Order: sequence, then structure tokens, then C-alpha cells
Amino acid sequence: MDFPKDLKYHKEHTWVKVEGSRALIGITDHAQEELGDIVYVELPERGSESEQDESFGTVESAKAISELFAPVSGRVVDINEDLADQPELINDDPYDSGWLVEVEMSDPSELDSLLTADTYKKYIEEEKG
Amino acid sequence: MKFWRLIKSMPSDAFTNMAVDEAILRTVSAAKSPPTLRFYSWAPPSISVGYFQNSLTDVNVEVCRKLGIDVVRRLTGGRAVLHDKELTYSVICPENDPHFPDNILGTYKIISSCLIRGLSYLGLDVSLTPFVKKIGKNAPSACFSSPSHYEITVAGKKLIGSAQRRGEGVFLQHGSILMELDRESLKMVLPGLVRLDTVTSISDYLSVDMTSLISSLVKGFEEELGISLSEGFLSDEEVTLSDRYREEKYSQREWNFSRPSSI
Repeated sequence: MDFPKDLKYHKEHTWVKVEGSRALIGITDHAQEELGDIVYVELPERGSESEQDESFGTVESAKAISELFAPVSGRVVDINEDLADQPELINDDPYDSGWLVEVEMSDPSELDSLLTADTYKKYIEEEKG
Repeated sequence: MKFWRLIKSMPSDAFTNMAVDEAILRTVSAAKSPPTLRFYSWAPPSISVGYFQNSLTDVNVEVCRKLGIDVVRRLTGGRAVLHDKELTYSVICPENDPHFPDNILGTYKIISSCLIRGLSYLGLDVSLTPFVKKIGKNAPSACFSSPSHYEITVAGKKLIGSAQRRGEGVFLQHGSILMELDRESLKMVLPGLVRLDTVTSISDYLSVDMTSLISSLVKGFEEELGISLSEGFLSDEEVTLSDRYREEKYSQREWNFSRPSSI
């Protein structure tokens, strides 16, 4: 399983790639594997605000709706429209073409509360018991 | 021994049924209610569609209106179900509960084991569908058209259709246990249901009343999970919440007839 070092991770299995004041957000390789084949994605509208630790969308896999939790707060400036027709991009390429949303961060200090690749990896190993 | 709450609800309409499941989900999520197993049925008969389904294309709304069948959208995934002569169960439990692994398929598998154990007390020879590798977007629009992951079949035909919602530290799984099957009505209201030979009901094998079915299933959950279920009722907060969700969400056309998506 892959956890790129240049990303920050949230305990609810989302990742952040920081570019200046903007954050690209997706779900981790571990999350997509646990979810299985994703068939639908619901994302927030451009211009809406999302709050750290709050639900900002949902995915459907295996007849289950799973909520997605925002790793940082901010205004949604872009969403991955390719996912409407190709939700499987999240499974195939979770850190690149399977990204979900881009936000303009309202409080970049929230990044300090996120995990590094190594600590996230330890966290999911402990979670599995 | 761990105590769970058992709720046996009176038959209610589709909007109330879905509102009550969500109300319990909120209170369990806030640690104000214990894990809960609820049984309910639907009056009048209703169709529930999956969260992402388009009820206008997947359900024959005109025929439903003529037959007095309500249509409601669920919080959970999956496909359309006609709730008529059936019993619905719902399980609402924290995701970190030690009885369940923190994932979708593991949860289906354990709840299915409870249901299988319960049904076996009635003498029904039920089995578990193995893990299905690929269930795509193009799956049939009716839930009972094909058995899915870890679902319950009799002689290869689907008897129980289940679906989940996960988030805010809690999962909701509910499912429909078919007691009798009116194949003609099914065909009329769910045009996507092309195959009716893949679905079955309890009455195809034995005769059982609702009370015996519920008590067998309660025993199945208690013994499989090692819990004790004590019968209780909705809390005042759950009643208030469910009234609100019914009024503001589940009885609204906007909720029931437009699928979520901003992409």
C-alpha cells in the first residue's frame, strides 16, 4: 500500500496536498481498498465552505454510503468532474487522477493537526489491531 | 454481557420509517442511545430507493401512485426495494463496537450470520452469498435482482436485501426480509427488475407469523453476538428528531425525487 511522503493525512483516511494556500484533497489508498469498487461520488459545490473534521461528501461502494471527512477547512474552489463518469479513478489512482476537491484553506495552521505518511501508516496498522 | 436496545415499531409509512432510522443514527452517534436493533414494516406498501438512485427513471412512479405505493429515498446505498409483505430490520451501532470490524463487508458478514442463525431456528435452510468481486454501476436497478456481498439466499435465490450508511462514528445497516412475494406488482412498479427467478420469500418454504419471525431473529442476534437485547422505545429526543426528519426531509419531493450530485 502506498502513502506518498509529500502528503498530509487525516485520521478519517483523507489526504491533503498543499500548494501555497490551496489544498488538494482525496482519499487514501487504504480507504479505497477498504471501500471496494466506488460506483458513485457526491461532492460539495464550488464556492461552498467545508469544515475540518466535518462531512463534505459521500461515496457509494458495496451498497454502502460512506461519508467523506474534510482534512482542512476552506472554500471549495474546484471539484474533480471526471469522477461523475469515472468514479473508479478513486480506486485506480487515489493520489492523482482520483483527487476529489481543491480548497482555499481558511486556517492553514490546521495542517499541523494532520499526520505524516509514517504516522498515518502506524495509525492504520494499530486500527487493524 | 453487553446490553442492546430492541425496538419493535408499529407498521408506519415510508417517510416515518426512514426518519426513525436516521433519528436513531444521530443519537447513537452522539452516544445518547445504546446500539439498537429495530424491526418494522411498511403501511402503506412502499418503494425505497438507494441514496444515489434516480427514482424517476428506476421506479414506475405513475403505477405506484395508482396503487397507493409511496416512494422514499434511503440514506443507505443499493437499489430499489418494494416493501410490502416483509419485515425490515435495522442495526445502528458505533463503528468501533468490538462485535464488528470497522469496514463495510465485515459488517455485512456479521449481521448476515446473526440473520442466518435466527432464520435457522425456523427451519429455513439459508446460506451466505460469498464475496462478489465486482458490482458495477450498471447493476440492475432493483435490489433483489441479484445477490450481493454476503447476502442471504435460499437455494441460490435472494431472501434478504441489505444496505449500509457509515459516518460520524456509526453505521446503519437495514434490510428487507421477504415474507411473501407478489411478483406481478414487483414487475409493474420496478421496470428494471428483469429477472424474478433470482428472488424468493419465506412463504415459498414455510408459514410463519411476524411475531415468531422477530423472536427467532432476536435470538439469532443475541447468540451470534453474545449480547442481551432488552425491549425499549424511542427516546424523547429520537421522537422529536424523527418528526423533524419526516417533515423536513423524507416526506419532501425534493429529497425523494432528485438524486444527490454536484458533479
